[in-house]
Formats: sequence, C-alpha cells, structure tokens
Amino acid sequence: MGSGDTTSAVSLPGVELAGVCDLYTGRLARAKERWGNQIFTTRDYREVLARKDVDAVIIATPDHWHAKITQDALAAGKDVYCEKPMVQKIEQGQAVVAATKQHGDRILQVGSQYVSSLVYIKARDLLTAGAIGELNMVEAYLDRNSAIGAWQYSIPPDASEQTVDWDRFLGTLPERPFEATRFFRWRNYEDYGTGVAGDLFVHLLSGLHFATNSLGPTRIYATGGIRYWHDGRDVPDVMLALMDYPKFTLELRVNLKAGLPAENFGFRFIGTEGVMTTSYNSVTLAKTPRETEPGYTIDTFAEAQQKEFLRNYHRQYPQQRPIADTMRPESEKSSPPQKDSTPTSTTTKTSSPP
Amino acid sequence: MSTSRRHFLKSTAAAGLAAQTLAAQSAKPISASDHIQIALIGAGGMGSGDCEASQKQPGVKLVAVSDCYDGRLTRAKERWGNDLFTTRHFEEILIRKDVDAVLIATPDHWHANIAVAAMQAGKDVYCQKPMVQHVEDGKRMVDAQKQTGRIIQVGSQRVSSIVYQKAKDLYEQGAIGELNMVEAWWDRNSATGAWQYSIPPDASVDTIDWERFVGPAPKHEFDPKRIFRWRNYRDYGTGVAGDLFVHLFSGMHFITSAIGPTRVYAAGGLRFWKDGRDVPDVLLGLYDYPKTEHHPAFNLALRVNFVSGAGESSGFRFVGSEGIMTVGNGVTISKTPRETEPGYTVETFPKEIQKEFIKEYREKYPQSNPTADAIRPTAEEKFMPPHGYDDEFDHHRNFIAHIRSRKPVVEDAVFGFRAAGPALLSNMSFFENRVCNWDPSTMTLV
Repeated sequence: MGSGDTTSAVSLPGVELAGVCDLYTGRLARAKERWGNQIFTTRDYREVLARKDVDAVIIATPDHWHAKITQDALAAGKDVYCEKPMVQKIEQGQAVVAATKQHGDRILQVGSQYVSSLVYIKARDLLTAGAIGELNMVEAYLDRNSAIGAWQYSIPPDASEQTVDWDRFLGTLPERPFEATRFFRWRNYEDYGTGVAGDLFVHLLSGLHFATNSLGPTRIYATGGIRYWHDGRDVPDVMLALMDYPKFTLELRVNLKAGLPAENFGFRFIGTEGVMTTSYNSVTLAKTPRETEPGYTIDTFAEAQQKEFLRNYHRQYPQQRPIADTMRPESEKSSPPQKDSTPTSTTTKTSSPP
Repeated sequence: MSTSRRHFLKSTAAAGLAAQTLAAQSAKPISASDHIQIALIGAGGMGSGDCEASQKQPGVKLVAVSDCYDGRLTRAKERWGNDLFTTRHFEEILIRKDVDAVLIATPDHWHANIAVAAMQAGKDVYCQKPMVQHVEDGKRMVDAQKQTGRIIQVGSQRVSSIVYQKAKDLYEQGAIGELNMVEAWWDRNSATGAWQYSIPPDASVDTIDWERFVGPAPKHEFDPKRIFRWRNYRDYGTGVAGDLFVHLFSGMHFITSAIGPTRVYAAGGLRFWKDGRDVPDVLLGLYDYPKTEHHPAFNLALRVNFVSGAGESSGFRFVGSEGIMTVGNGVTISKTPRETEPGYTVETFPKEIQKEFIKEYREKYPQSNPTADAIRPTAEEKFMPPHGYDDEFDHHRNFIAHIRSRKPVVEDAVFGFRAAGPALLSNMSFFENRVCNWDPSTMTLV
C-alpha cells in the first residue's frame, strides 16, 4: 500500500519524495531502485520525523503502528496521510482525534480513497436528490477468490533477522521469535492487523458514510469464520455484519473464498423508489415508481361481496390508462471519464413502461 | 354458543380421548381406490390455495370447511359445492368420521392447538408454515405426531419441489466445492405483498366470530384489520420471519441437509408500511451453522425487504470454494476452478530478490502451457423446471401419497420445527435486542 500511495503522491505536480522508512532492508533498496539513490532511507521512523526537509508523511505500516506514528508525526509538525484503518484499537481513536485538534495547523487524511472518488460523489448527489426515494437498507460487499486477495503476500527469499528489524516490528507487543510469515503477511494476525473488518469493512463504511452523510451505526453484530484459508491465520476469511443506522440497516459482507472469477466490490442502496448500485467505477440507478393503487385480494369473499368491494375500490382508484409520461428508466448507468478519452461521464438509459 | 377458550379446551380434551382408539384403527395404508376426504380449517388465501391443490389430486374429496368469517363459508360453497359442511367451529370438523385429513391454514396463533387436537382426533394434518407461533409449542407438535402416529406435513412447498431436489443433487455432487456461505432473500414492493390484504365490505361482529379468532391470543376489541391483515400483528402472526424466513430455512435445510443454526441475530425496522402494524417491514438475519456430517461450517444471511425499490424477487446464493449455486425459479451453477498457482506480490522487493523469488516460484509452479482440455465453460449452467411447473401441487401430492402409504414425510413436525425455530428466534433477537442461542438437535433455546 505504501508504494502505491507514494507512486500516486509523486505523480502530483510539485511533490517530491525525500525519504523512506521500512523495517525490511530489501524495501529500502527497492525504494532507491524505484525513486533514486538520493532519497534518505532508514529503519527508524523517528529519523524521518526529525528531518526539516519533510513536510508530510505517508504512514502505511501494519495497523498496530498507525496511532503511535500518526501522533508522533503530528507532534513533529508533519501533515499525515495515514492508511486505513486509522487505529488498530478502539481506545486509540480518541487520542488520534485529540492530536489533530492539539496540532490544529496540521492536516490528517485517512486512506480510504472512495471518499475522494467521483463515483461516490455522484452517488451522494443522487441520494441527496432523492433518486431512490427514502433509503431503507444498504448492502455492501467485497468478495475475493485468490491467495493474494486473501493476504498470502510473497515472502522474499532473503527474509531473516538480519534483513528484518523484528523487534521494532513487534513494538510494544510481547516478544516472540522471528517469523517471516507474521511480518510479510501481517494482516492474517490480530497482533498486527485488524482482519477483514479493518482492511475492508472500513472502506465500505467510509464510502457509505460519505455517500449518506452518516456518522455511524448504533448497534453492531458480526459473525463468520475461517472457512478456507487455514494457513495459521487467526482472523476469519468470511465475515458478515449487520449494523443499525438511525434510518436504515446495513449489511456488510466480505468473503475471501467467494467462488467468483474476479473481485466483486460494491454497494446496493435500496430505497422506496429504486435501487442504486455502485462499483469501483460506476453508479447504476434503477427506478421503480410506487404503486398508484394498492390492489386487492378478494377471491375468498362471497361473490356479492367481491362485487361491492370492486365498486368501492374503483370509486377510490379510478381505472387509468397508462401514459407515456409514466415510463421510468429501467436503469441508468454513470461512469467517470476513462483515461485517454473525452472528459465526459458516460450515461446509458433504457426505459420501460410501468 | 360460547366460543371461549375454556370451551375449546374441554371439547379438544374429549376429542383427544376418542381419538386414541381411532388413531390405532386408522393408521393403516389407504388403498388408491379409496377416497381421501379432507376438510379445510381457515379458508383465507393460503387455505383456499391449499384446498385447490389438494383437490387436484386423484381420489381427494373436500367435505367440510371452517372459518371465523361467514363470507368465506359462503364463498367455499360457491366454489366447491353446496353440499359442503361449513362451520365457524373447527371442533365440529374434528369430530366428523367422514374427515380423514385436515388442511390447517388459520392465522399462526391457532396452528399448534388445532394441529394437536386434529392429530389426537385421528386426523392427518397439513399445517401451514410456520408450524408454531411460539418456540414453546414446537415440542407439543413433535410429541403429538409421535404419540398419535398421524401424518403431519408442514406447508413449505419447496421441500417437494423438483427445483430444490435438483439443487440438492448438485450440492451433494460437489458442484460448488466446499460450502462457506448462503444468502437468501425475499424482496417485495407492493401493498398486498406487504400484507395489506382486502377487507370485505360486510366485515362486522355479526359476520365474524371475533372471540374465536382471538382464541389463545390476548383479548382485543373488534378490529377488522386485525383479522384480515393478521400477519401485521404479533398477537396472531410471526412477521416476515415466520411468513418468509421460514420458507428460506425450509428450502435451505432441504438442500444442504442442515438441521439449524446455533446462533441467531436479526436487525431491521418498520420503514415504510406504518399502517398500525407492530412488526418490521425490513428484516435481516445472520445465522451460524456449525459443521455436521452433511456440510462444513457456514454462515447464512437472510433478508426480507417489503419496500424494495429494487423490485420483487426471491432466491438463494450458495457460495462454495469452487463456484456459486443460485436457486430461484430454476438452479444456476457458475463454476470457478481453484487457482492452479497462488501468484506473487514481489514489486516491493529489490530487483535481485525479485529474480531469485521468481526463479524459486517457477521451480515450484512450472509455467504450464495451456491445453485445449484446460478450457472450461465460462457460461453459467442453468436448470429450469418444465413450463408451468407447480411445486404446491407436488407438495400436496406428497401429502396425499403419504396418507395412503403411512410412510414418514420429509417435512414432518421435526423438520417443520427446525425451520420455524430459527425464524421465531429471529423475532426474539429483533424484539428483545439480543443474540439467541439454539440447539438444533434438541430444538431448544440455550
């Protein structure tokens, strides 16, 4: 994630990479290969924070280091881009928020990119404009079906206590013998990561909160298990959650062995008058107008009562001929501009009668 | 005549005594040439549908109908002949010697009392789902089935559907590898779908036996909505969980041979149909199924949304390590073979280390030249039942066949309770704001 963040950052005008810190020396060597021999490299993040030529830092360590380094960086006068989840433990949240207040001139941005995505800005605009009526339920999902998707990241052949600063990686955690798998596949362990919830639910929640202007749920329940990736991990690979928001219910799902050919990510926002589906790169809207009359179930009434019922019913709901104006778009898909193409969003629509 | 609860209890006790001798006599096979005479108790929408499906079976004759609303008794005669015996009192049906089996399609709060009384009176029983309104009544039904030796089949017709049989076969053949998750849903988006059933213009205390309708439920003044739209009230119904989750449990249990979850949680709310009802119109549930000899451990997610702007649909997704099985009107299998190699993420390693890694990786996973044999169909494989297929008909055919053969049915009281139990626990979880634990083998709360 850190290398991806850095590549994005240095592609922006006026941004220069000054230094890189990592606990595996191979990554420091790689940083110089990629970004030039001039960059400062170290195993000790405090040496980066002490440098006057650094304005901002990207924190992309394992989760268990986020809060500490973020607070130290803010205190050292740096702006911070911190990978999600912002904190590993719930108790750390208030302290990080307090640190941003204490150093009010510093910027902290957390790395859930959907909050800056055109797709989710469009989704928010559509929801606000009432495109699907009143929201009552949201489904959010991320399905994967590969070893890498399930965090079985590669371990370099030279991984050892000489090339990896194991003690610093452990930080305040209890001592334990070096284990390359725990270092390079840290998401699989509660000690360093936060499982699918901290890696993936947090993206879905960030996107949802942004699109719906929500602060968060009042009640949370989750279940799941390790169903397939029995590789020594101590976090579930299937996880489902239900969360109560004031006006809607959220269902979250992550399945790392989802029987699908490709990753599947998105949201379904269900409203009284339609459904909005979002993915990485599109928003699709399908509208269903409310019934104009309630219909009836009278076949178990005596015939005379059925006749009387229908007379009353048609007085209340006069029979209407459908008109062309009542036709609604069956689905309307919007996508952001593609690279190397005309800078307009694409929209497709098909309409069908009621 | 008084229709108080005390009267009911007295008359069923008497019927029960008479039944024990009757049960022993009639629990013998009935030959195909003999007529089976049925009676309907509760002649609303479901009951009338059941009655039609049952009468389509060869050798089945409807002889009596009971309902608390007179209009439905009139309608029964209009539909099925003037010679029908009709009554407001189901006890009058249970004491008739010309009735072999009863179809019970009353509101949920009457299911257990009538079904137990019917079995004790020597009748075979087709009982609408959910089998019971309260978890505490489940054992009473299971015991009555055992003690009387009567046939009882619960009315989740999917259990008799060839679509679900096909899904079961495919699942058992390993079509999707190892199961890890099931999602099932039932979305609706209409007033009648949300149980706003029609109320007849002549509904009144004169045409309706209100005391009898209320029966074992708490006393309440006459309100036509509460009888004609009884699913909207916890006093008589079981909400979306008892009406629809129970179908999803029945279908899923049938396909996977699961017997039930150990942990139940539900959330939702009343979002749109604020017509006086006291049950949610959006409900989602999560269920933990532990490993058994028939299936690995998996999670079930259920959803009912009565305000689904996404349109009306119902179905299942069975997710496995090698594919997905979708069950709706038909069965669809989409397979994704497991990766042949795990892939790598080496771009943050120095170039030299990357080279070394890839060399070792290729020794372990030699680059294979794809062959034509390795090409798999990418399209989904879809199985559809014959046009016009009716699982309701098949469910009643099974019921009648078992009345004749006296062999045990699939969806008996135990199966019915194992579907109703977790549905009722969903309500308990929602209304009591807690997680519910269940022992599916003993069918008891933990």
